[in-house]
Amino acid sequence: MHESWGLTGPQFLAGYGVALAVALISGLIVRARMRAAAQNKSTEPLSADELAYLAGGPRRVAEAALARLVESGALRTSRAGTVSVTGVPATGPVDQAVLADASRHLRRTVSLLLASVVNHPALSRDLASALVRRDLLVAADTVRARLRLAVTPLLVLLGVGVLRWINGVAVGAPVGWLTVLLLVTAVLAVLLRSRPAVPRTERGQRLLEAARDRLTGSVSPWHGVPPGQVPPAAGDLVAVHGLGAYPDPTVRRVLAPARPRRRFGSSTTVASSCSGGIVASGSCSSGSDSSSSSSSCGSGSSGCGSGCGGGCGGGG
Amino acid sequence: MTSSTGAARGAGPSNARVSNDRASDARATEAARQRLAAQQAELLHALLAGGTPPAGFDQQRLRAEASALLAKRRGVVAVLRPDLTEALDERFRPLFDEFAADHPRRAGTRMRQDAAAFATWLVERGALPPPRRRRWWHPRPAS
Amino acid sequence: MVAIPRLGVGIGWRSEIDLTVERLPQVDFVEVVAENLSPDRLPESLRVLRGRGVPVLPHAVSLSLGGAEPVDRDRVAHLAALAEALDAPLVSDHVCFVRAGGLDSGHLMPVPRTADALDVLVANVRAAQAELPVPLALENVAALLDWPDGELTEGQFLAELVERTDCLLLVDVANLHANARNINTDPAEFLTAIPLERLAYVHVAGGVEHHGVYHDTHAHPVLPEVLDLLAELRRRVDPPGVLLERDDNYPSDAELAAELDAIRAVLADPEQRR
Repeated sequence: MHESWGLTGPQFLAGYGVALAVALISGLIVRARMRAAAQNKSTEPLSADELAYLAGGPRRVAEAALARLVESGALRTSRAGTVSVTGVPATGPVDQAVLADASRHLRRTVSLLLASVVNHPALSRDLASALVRRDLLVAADTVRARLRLAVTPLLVLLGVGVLRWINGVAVGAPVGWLTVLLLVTAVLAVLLRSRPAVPRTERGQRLLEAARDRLTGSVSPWHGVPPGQVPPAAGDLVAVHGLGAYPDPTVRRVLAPARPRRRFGSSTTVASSCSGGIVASGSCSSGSDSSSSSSSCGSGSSGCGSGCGGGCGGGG
Repeated sequence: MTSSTGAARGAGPSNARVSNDRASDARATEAARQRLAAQQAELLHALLAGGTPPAGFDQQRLRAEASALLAKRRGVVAVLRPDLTEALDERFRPLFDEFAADHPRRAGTRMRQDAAAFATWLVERGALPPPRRRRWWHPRPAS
Repeated sequence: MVAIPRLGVGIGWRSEIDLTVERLPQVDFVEVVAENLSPDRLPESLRVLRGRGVPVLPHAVSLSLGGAEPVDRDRVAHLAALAEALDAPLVSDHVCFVRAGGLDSGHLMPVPRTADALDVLVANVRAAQAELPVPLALENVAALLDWPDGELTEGQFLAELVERTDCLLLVDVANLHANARNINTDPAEFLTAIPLERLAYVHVAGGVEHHGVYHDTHAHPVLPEVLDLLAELRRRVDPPGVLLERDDNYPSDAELAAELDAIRAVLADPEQRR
């Protein structure tokens, strides 16, 4: 049996395995600690845009703005999946950016609109730096540096392993198990290096979860919004759960047509669709999850202020 | 629901005269069509193709109508081809008006063809570079 | 004679505002531009409306019934097929010509109010009626210019047309306002001259005045003067239907609902607009 570098194959493999575990754990710790730092204790509540960014980055910010604009009447949706402006103004830099993009086109498809506005600074750079200042988001530079640091031990180990492998091949020693370990190391390095979609700090994570509980908790799956309580706004629901959570089922199908339903699943979605519509209780349960049956109800919901009651029963 | 027009037409007093003399009526209508065709053609040529203004019309009204028709056609083309309005920006209006003056829309051409003809004219005239590929597309066919 | 159906208050359905039209409160009927639809591929939105029992009336803009040429049978066949597909109680087009001398104006041009023009119009309308499965209503257009040597007023011309073809009438009060403003016609004389018992429904639309000329844009709010004319009409007859037309520059749902409310208010109490 060869003893390159004074170690037998099994000895090297065992040592490599231990080193791999240590490198992985240290990498994970570095990766986790990147989210921990918390000097800023500001208790200012999250704005809707900040909440959306924490939940899903610029894309979610755009989706939430879209939901707000549709709900307020500033944007009109059509069954063709397009939105168009109505002349109703928007407030806030994010909503104004989305509205400005939409108003450059007579009819803008939702997917093109979202793809176009995610790069607007109001939705990406400005919000990210505000969240970093409030210690809710890890700065992009920090993320890059920390991930590089986290992955370094694995890369060093991989380098050593590769040398051993070359040596093994050169002297004709068996390298099967080593090959497997090297591949595992490479995969782990890629995973450890992968950037989180939204690098929330722990505090950011806590605030997001609190907002999620607050929004979902205010709606009971079976009874809709408790009497006297205001239903959550479409923009807030979408900020936390994406366009698939838009309260009105018909508009939801237009805005989020091909998306598979998220875990924010059937029962909760029913509740939210009712909440948006301030719907008479009976229609909610039957509205359930079937898109076809809920569509007729949907017709009552957005225009509810003016003419609810009748909209549902006669629909079909 | 069925039409009531057939029965009612036969019962109408003024229609008795019509059925009495169908042949001469048809000849009269044919003559009326020819006179009317000349009048209408003269008006449209004046409004759309720079023809001589027909007698008896208020000249100012003719100009107002001509520019309204031009504006409507221009508006439709702008809606159908946002790529052209975007590429031409301020030049869209004068260029389209120049195109329209020499190319009145022929009966039987659709507005989409009209818009395409304008795009071709722009390229031939050098106002736009030849398209490498279609940059503009409808995600779904408009209904 | 089949009774003219009660239609109520409606709005023009356009694909851009399909969801809005579905959701506006108390829309009793809608109208679609016939040329924009194919009978075998009706939009989902119209199926939803039909499923609710909302009448959908095809409104054609290209038959050119007032044109010198015989009516295009393919266009009439399309309108007929659409009426069947939508189970529409009636269809409509305009008293106008669109094409002449090999040119297409792209717009609804007024016809000369002469015996010749009336004879040709009557012949064309009868030809269209013969191919249509439902009654045909004809609408007065907005004109920016007037033909010289008119032998009849517009009201008398339409009255003759109804007498000779038994067609229904679709009165556009915005067009009445446009003609009063632009070519000095008298809306009261018009309403007196036409047979109001043959009124199928009424169009109300917005427009804008520009350099002393009223433009029937269907892209601006309805002017108070147009609602005044609706009140004037309402004092003479209870119209079977009134429809708001909006074709561009669509405002918010709330604004459209408010325009429909204003129409309902005039119909309920026309005296408020004296």
